Amino acid sequence: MSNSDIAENIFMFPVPASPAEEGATAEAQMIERACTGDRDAFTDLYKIYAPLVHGIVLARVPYDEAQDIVQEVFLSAYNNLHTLRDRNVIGSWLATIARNRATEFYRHARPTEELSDEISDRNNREAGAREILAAIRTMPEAYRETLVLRLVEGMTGIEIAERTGLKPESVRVNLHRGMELLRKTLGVGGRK
Amino acid sequence: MNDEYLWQKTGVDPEIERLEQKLAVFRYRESTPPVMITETTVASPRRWRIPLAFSFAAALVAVVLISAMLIKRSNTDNDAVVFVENPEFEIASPGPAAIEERKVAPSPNVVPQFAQAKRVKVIRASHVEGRRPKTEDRTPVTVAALSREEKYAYRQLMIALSISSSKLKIVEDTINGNENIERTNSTNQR
Repeated sequence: MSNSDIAENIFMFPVPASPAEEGATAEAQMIERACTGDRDAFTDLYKIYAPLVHGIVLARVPYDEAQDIVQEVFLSAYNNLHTLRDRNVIGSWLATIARNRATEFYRHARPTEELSDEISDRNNREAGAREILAAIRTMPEAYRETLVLRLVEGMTGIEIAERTGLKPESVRVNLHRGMELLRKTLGVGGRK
Repeated sequence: MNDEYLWQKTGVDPEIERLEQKLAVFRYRESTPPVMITETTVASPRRWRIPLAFSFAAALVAVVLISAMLIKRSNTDNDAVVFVENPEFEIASPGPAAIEERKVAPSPNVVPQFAQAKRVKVIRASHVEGRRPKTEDRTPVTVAALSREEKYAYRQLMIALSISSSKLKIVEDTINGNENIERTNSTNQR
């Protein structure tokens, strides 16, 4: 029972649902429609959750591979959407699929190395970005996922908590500690 | 470090802003969702399992029934039916009776042994009105229906067979007796 339902039972008048509850209800409806074969509904879900999945994958695999893995994650989700019982946990469900796919990538792929800065990067700006991303990838999993979602995908802490199903307090702590660790790794001021 | 900017992008933090600008090159670029491969509806082979099993079983039963009928029919074709109704003759066995007293002559009204051959069905019955033989297409041979000469010939034939069988029995006993004698002699010699 949602908070608005409880309030309605107590105060005997309709209480408007919170934005988070409205969003969850809308997403649940999207999932229901997607389960019945509505592709537009699934496309809407894709637009909402693709950045989350991309961020989680990017925290583990090279950027060039991330987009393909995102597609695989959503394809797998579409085929197994009917197995999702709780419609409100689709974010954490997709995150789990994304983590598993990223792990499978390293299990099946040949060991590769990203091209050096001189060959692959055409400007120093992109080279600096690769350096920062590489530093984030060396961090513990909880920090690197949160930092990538915040710094790369541009999500706020609240959005990260809502999408991943984590507690906001945990996300806040992970962001703070991860940022401190990144500063130490890159040196005070942002670069080594 | 401005925690509020890190948490919900309120306020200002030049360091984090610079990191965001640099890392923006790796940001997710909106793309179309993957082409969903819908499962085509293929007729499940499971549907055919039960009718296939039934048809197979039915065919098997049909084959068994047909073969059983054919076997039964062939057996009935081969069976010779002989009705012996109150035989008027007595099978005398003069040979054995003359030689050994303990040989008991066969009792009267006995069906001859040749009639009890493997594939001959002998139905001995007093004639019952209204009862018909099972195989109607076959005419039963009754002794009573024979003419006098035929009866005589039949009786002579029976006597001849009886004599020959008794002779054969004598020969068989003689051979067995000789064998016993020979066996006794060889044992004594040892």
